[in-house]
Amino acid sequence: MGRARSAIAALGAAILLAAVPATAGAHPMFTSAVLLGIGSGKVDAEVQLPVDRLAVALERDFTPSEAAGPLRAEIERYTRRHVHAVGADGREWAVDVGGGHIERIDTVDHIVMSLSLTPPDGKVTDFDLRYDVIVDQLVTHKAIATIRSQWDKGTTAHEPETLGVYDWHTKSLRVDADGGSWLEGFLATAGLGVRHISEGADHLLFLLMLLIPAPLVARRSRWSRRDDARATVIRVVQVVSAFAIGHSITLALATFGLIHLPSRLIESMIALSILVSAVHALRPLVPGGEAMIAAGFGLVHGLAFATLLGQLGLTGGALVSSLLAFNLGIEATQLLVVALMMPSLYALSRSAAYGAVRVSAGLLGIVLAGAWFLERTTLIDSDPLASVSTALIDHPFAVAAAFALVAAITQYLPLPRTTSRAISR
Amino acid sequence: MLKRFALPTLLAGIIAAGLVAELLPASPAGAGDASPGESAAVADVAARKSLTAKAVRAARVFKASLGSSQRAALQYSFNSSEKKSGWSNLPTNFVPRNGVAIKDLGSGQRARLRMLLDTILSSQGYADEVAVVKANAYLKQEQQNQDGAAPIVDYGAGLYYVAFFGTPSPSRKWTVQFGGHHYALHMTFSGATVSNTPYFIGVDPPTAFEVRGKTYEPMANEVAALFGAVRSLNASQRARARLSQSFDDVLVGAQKDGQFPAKLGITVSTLSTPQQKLVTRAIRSYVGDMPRKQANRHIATYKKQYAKTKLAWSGSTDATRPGAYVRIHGPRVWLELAMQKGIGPFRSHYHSIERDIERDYGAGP
Repeated sequence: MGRARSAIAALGAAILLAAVPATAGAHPMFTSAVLLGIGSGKVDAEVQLPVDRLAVALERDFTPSEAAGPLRAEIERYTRRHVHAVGADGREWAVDVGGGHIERIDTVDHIVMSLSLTPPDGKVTDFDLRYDVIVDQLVTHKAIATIRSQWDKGTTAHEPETLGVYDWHTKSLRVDADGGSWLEGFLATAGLGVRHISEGADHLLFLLMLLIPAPLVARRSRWSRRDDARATVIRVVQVVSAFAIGHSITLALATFGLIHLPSRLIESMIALSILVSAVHALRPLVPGGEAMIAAGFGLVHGLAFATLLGQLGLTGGALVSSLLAFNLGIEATQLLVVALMMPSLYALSRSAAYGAVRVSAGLLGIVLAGAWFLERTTLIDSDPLASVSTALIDHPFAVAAAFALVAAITQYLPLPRTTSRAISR
Repeated sequence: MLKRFALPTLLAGIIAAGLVAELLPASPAGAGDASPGESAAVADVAARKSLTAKAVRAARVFKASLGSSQRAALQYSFNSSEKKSGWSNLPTNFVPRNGVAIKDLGSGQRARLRMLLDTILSSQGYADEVAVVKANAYLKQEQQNQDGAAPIVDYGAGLYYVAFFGTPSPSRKWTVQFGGHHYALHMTFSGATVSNTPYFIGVDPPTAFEVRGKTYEPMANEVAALFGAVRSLNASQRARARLSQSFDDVLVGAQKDGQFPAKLGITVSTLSTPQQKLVTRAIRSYVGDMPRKQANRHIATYKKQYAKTKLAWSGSTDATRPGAYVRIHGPRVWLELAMQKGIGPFRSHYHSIERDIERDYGAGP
């Protein structure tokens, strides 16, 4: 139950996040932004300054292209004078300022400076970040400071953490770079893996379609009962492992930038994979081939996982750790799904009703996957069945319970049962 | 073994987990505040005519016209922290407001709210309030006339909210908080003592505009009075009153309670008598938005403090220039008006705030 509860919590958090608009603050175009990436040896900072407010602060008029051109060096020096990092030991860190390109953010031209803050002993501790760029002159200006990534605290670009707001009254903010641990970052990223796969109806549906025939055996292009718990367990282990191996390979390759495919292609192929596995649930396409299908299409699903991981903005050691953690979260959730669904499927497979269950589940899979495929290949504008898949994914435990209930009824109520190894359909 | 024992247990467990997961989020919502009925008896006949007594009656009439869930949403305890966090000058989709929205009121309820505002504001103050709301209706009109992407800002006359902090009472403290985009009023009653701060008022468009054939120009009086005081200064006085810092907004706005800077500018008591009168006129353009008797009491106090009160400006003495800024800063009075510098899709327009450094939100006796 502990795991189930945390999965519920993760799902709930994901839904909340999706509902909250991105503009939690004020008119964002009026403010500067300070984005921190906290590593173990140095802190990277990106500073986004609205060009026309910078002009007020420098008490002269200039255009964005002048700011990025002839005035860049002066803006660099000005920024350098107004950013200071002081470690817990009171020693000042080295601040390097570079960058200086123009970026349009929320319809407003900003000049983006890249800073790196390095402690004298090369070890990042808690520090005070003193900042009054623009604010020193334009006292009504604000700069919103955010921690964009900090592995040891589990902070990633997926859910950046607000540090505070610099204004004329607040010119120094304490950054907690100490504390936290590798484990904290690991668990947070694993949680992200859990959340990603439990939100992604497509990954789970693919897996489910391959699990449906697991208690059966293919004979002459038809599914027959096997009625062998041990063989069923072995088949499930094969499918789950094959899927894990398949998606792990491409997740790793794509994360390290060794392969790159357009996301529309990946998403369309994932829809196709569900279509294939759903058809396979109706009639065996490849006898005993569930593991093969799982591994083959697992390669495609891994590419989709990598897209999310790539958005976290991590590099180096943190990237390896996050890859490991993220994948672990995905595998754990897969196993939870298997644990919730397999007993019901096995029980059902021993009843006359399984043929009907299998066929209706397979048809549902075909319809959902078909709709996704058409949407993702842009043959249709929007998924007409989105509400159905959302409802299913919003209530994963209800779906599992419903299956278990049907299974229990067919098992323990005096309904007609197939007693022989008759073909179930 | 597996068939006889393990399977039924597993199935039962999954069903139980499903039930728990589905039922977990259904935690009971907090019951609303059923405010205790205040004894309506106001014995003293003189007290019945006082502003506070009239405000209490108007507030109770409005409150009684609401349904129970609206009443619960309207009423907060006097010391609720939401009083300070739940107001702003920004459009309401950027900072959610406390209380009940005008758009959610029926016509009878709206009429009673209008009665309440008309009671607690002077005619000058009421006209300002109406015009600022009209300006928001104008912005919505303007937005609807533009094509293109979905608007990122919610405008409209219905997006103004009213909340009560403390139950309306002739003797105990209570506050009417009313506001939305470019408007925030805090009328606090403490027996016969009344205050109206923090009081934010802003307007976009900054020039006269028309809604349904009627022309409005909110804040024209305030802008003329504050910049009039600065423009009355001679060259050397202007130099002394000029701030070196730049402003593109008010400094001590929403959620900046108590964060006043050091006093800067020219001391009001060193100005000529006509100039001092212009400063008083500027103060009255804000303080006078509450009824005359109460406003006069505040203004008398502020005038006594002119030896410790500074007048300052920045940017420009021409109110129409973006970055133009005026401030009056005394031991108690705080008044600032900025020609806020537009950015992106937003044009330059006026923001201003009145505060009482010691008595914001009805602090003190």
